[in-house]
Amino acid sequence: MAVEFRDYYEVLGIARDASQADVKKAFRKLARIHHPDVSKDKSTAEEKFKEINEAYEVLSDTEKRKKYDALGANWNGQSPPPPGGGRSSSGSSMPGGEEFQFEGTGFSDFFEQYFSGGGARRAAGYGGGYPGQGGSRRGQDIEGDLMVTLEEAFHGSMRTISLRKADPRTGRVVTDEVQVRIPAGIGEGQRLRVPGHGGQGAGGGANGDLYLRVRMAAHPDFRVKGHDLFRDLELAPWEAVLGTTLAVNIPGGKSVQVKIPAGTGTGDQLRLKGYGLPKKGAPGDLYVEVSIATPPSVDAEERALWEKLRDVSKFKPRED
Amino acid sequence: MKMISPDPHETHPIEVVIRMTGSSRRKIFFYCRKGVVSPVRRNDDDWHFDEESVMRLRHIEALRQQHRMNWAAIQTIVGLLDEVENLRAELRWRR
Repeated sequence: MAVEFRDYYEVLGIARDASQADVKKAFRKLARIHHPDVSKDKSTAEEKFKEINEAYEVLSDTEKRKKYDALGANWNGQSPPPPGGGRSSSGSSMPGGEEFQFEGTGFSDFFEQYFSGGGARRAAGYGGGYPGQGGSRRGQDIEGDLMVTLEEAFHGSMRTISLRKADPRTGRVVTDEVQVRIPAGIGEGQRLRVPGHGGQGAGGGANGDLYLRVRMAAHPDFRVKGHDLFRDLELAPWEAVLGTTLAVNIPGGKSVQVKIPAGTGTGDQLRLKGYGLPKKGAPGDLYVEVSIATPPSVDAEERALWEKLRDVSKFKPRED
Repeated sequence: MKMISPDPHETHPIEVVIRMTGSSRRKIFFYCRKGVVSPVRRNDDDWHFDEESVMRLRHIEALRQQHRMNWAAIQTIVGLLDEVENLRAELRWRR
């Protein structure tokens, strides 16, 4: 089960020596264009958004990027080079020798094989495998990453996951397909257990389970922690000093009016109660993290006003 | 095609956990004492565990039975995996 090399630099449209800041900038720009909320063609937008996310997942992490660069340099165009850690060259494999590949998780086979979060732990399979009654043996559990967008976390969704398994003894490839409902309110790192869809049991033993570990797709505007969302908001110095009311975008393409109190400073957080991810009981909150932006240049009139402010102001930021 | 609606908040009574993990009541109590897993509900003998604990107990049993690891080795591995997971989460948050 050979995998195809993915050119993540091409996906983000950046040079191979792009800085981490450039990677982030390119991701945000493309993610805003192809975000399913704003794109006209929803069906292709979601695929494109996930592709951009996968590239960002690897290139935004310096360790993964280093590994990716090394892989790319040695890729011969036909088959993957022998990866580190003794993993199978034709797919992830478990100690029992069973090879497998995922589809429908939002990640490509290439990512699954080389960059899936759990690393060796995932590839090795874990849990299960213990003896059952009468010499039977339960199948291994298999874990795969599942890319979930913020919108899916809000509203829930349905995914068709297929797991191709190849038995090295017979060479036979079996595709196991299952529809998995992703519940609304799911969060980063949570696992969904799909019973009986892991490795095959032996001697009449039950099959192992499939664990899908949620990886929240990076969003150009929002970050997720638990059920809370965070977004940045830049203010002009006078907005921060005098206070104002602004329309702040919230997930789903909507916006709410937020009152910025006078004297708001960089690093201050404004909590919008209940605008986070759904949760049993009460939903999470949306935190707006404020930073103060300065104008890159000022004209003569503005300069005169700033100088006047400097002369009359009693504000001393470096004194207690 | 089969449709499955997994509930990440599902909990299981200890008898079911024993069947699901191949562990024993005595061992599960031991792991609880050591703080490796903890029940989400605990009324006398009626202990309930969440999905995360079930997965962790399966992992421990695989290390113990398949790889013949002793408790010290298991404790080290479980601790390291937790640390990796936490650091990974931190990294993803900061990116």
